[in-house]
Amino acid sequence: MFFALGRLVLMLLVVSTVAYVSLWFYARAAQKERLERRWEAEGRPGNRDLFVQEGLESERYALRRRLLLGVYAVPFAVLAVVVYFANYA
Amino acid sequence: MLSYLKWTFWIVFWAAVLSVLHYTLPRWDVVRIADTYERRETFGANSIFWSSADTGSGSGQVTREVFFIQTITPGGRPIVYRNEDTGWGWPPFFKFDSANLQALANDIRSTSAEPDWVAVKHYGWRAEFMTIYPNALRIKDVDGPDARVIPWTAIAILIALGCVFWAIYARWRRFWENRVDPLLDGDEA
Repeated sequence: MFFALGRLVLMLLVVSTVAYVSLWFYARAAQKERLERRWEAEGRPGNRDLFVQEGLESERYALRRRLLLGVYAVPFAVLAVVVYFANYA
Repeated sequence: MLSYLKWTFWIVFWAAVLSVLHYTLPRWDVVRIADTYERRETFGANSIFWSSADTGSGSGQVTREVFFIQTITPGGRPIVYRNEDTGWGWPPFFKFDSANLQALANDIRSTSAEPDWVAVKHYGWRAEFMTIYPNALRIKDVDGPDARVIPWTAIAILIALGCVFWAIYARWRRFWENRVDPLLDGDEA
């Protein structure tokens, strides 16, 4: 039983990590484009690269928290709920 | 010639996707439970349609006791379910309570003279020539032989899958239109 559970957890971790890395790069690219558009919309205040850099830096931790929750925490929580309802409800 | 290859590829691809979904998504049958039994099964070429070694017991064996539930539909057609744990494996129903389910099924057996209709949630196919059975997941009481049970689990899974594929497909399309098509057109944009 615990061998099978270990295999499942391992596979979930591999899939989650692939999703985490892909979503991280996708979200960073989307943030960058949004910041570039905002720089245009705000009337080009100062240096464009600096503006984008600062914006990316300030959003880094919020994105990390959201991704960690969404990619690692939620699937394991769903797993626990499904196991409970499949067997004990 | 190339278009034949392309069509063949897509037909095979979608047939594979649809059969995996049809096999795996849970459905409900309204039936009357006639009897239950337990039989030693020896698995051969059909082994992928059975659970892997039981949760808690040793692995590497090819013969194992399996619970079965014999039922009759309102139309008089027999449906035989196996009742096996899926454990932590595929498909991910995380079923560990096959013994409890068997006890429940045993308790609500009924005769054709005094039928007690129940709905059985199951996944899988019955194929006589390969000796494979759908796996029963849950049993619940229904009002009568005409009751309809809506397969909410399957609907939810299909909607979620659809959303994920749409999200990826839309982004893929946009990426292709913005970055790749201009290059292929010879534009410098």
